[in-house]
Amino acid sequence: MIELAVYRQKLIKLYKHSQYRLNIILKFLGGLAFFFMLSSACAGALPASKKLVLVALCALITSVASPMVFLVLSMAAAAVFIAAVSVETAIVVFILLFLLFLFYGRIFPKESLIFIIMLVGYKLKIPYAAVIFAAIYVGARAIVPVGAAVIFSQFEYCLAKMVSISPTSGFSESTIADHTVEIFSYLCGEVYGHINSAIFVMAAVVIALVAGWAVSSLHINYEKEAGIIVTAAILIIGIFLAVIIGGAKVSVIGLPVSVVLSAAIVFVMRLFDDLPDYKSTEWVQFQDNNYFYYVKAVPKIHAFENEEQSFANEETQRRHGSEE
Amino acid sequence: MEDLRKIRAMVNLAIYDKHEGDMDRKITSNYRRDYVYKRGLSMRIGVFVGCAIVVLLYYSYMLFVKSADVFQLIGEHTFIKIGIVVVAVLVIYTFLCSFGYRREYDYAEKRMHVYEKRISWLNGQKPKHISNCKKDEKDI
Repeated sequence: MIELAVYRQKLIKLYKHSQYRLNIILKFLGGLAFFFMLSSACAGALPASKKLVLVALCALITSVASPMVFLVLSMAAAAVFIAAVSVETAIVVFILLFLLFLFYGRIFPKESLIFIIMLVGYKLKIPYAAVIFAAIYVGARAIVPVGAAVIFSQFEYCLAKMVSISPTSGFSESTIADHTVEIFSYLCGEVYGHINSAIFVMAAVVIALVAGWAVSSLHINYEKEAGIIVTAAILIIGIFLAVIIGGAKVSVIGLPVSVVLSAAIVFVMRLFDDLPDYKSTEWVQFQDNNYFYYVKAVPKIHAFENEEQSFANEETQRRHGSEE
Repeated sequence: MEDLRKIRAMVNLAIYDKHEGDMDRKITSNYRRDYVYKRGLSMRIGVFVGCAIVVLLYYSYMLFVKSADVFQLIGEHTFIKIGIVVVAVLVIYTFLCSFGYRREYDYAEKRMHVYEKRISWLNGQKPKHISNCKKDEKDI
């Protein structure tokens, strides 16, 4: 455990050393991975060079954009990539995402990122990491994005059928309205037919989220760890019940593995959380009546290290001096 | 050597200016009621547009997919029903968001207050309440 704490300290020091540059690089890499994943929706209909340029451009904007801009960009990118295979499907998907943005994203842009993280999690088979993380850090505000992500994932299989209804090869401006209505009616039919199972899964996930949030705000020892365990346990039990009672389509073997893996990931993230917030080195300037000040404010975590270093240097010099 | 406490205070002020300062100044440049109203209005317009899209989708579905009769679908009380639902949604959003925006304003104002206190201390003055909330109190 001590070794783990030492590694944690070293990692934090590394991160804090160049926090701003690292943040931008990490955002860029995250954006690159996310938009590359999103581009798989176009299923090769877009030339690789165009796809690459679009993905790189979106990732570049992500590295400097606010959460709100990122949300809008994600929506637009999803619509463009889907439009490459089916324009009508892109219209329907864009309308649904736009509604989610109007009703929730504009008001809670940061929390809306959980929706995107969870969809990425579904691709990586660890969606519950986002739920557990939201339970112990975000709380009730995460109910909407988590619920929406569960519903989206439950009806993700519809996307392939929607695309097949109106492929771009048969695209014509005169039939766009008919095909859009056809896709819309297919989607409504599917939602109407399978909404019960989706609601069961959503309810299980939301209950787990709320329970985890409640436990992690109890002001007891190891509250966050207890929150992780409670959320994971309720997720497993709740989704199993959703499978048995509601007939939800969830992998019975994969579920516990995925939940345990997600809990482990959040636990590791939690390790980096309970330290005091050492701010990165700041360069600031100000003035009073007599002076201009150009100040470099160094966090103590670095300052002590420098002091130790200078002390060691002084000691060496002193020894050399006494030897001479 | 200048007073170390003063330098420390100035460093804190400069760090605050560099990070949250601009945003907080933008928020507290409005009166609390104005800020909540402006943000709320923008939110209400968005939610209203969202409601309009949902209603449009519902009636399109009924007309084109379910092939419902237009005159049966749009009856005497249809618009009243739609109005009630939209107003209910708007009221819920207004209630929740007003609470959130007020809290956001209060936090910004608290930080600004500490900032102003530090500046007053640096200038050797007694801390003044310059923030808008206190102006409101004075006006009243």
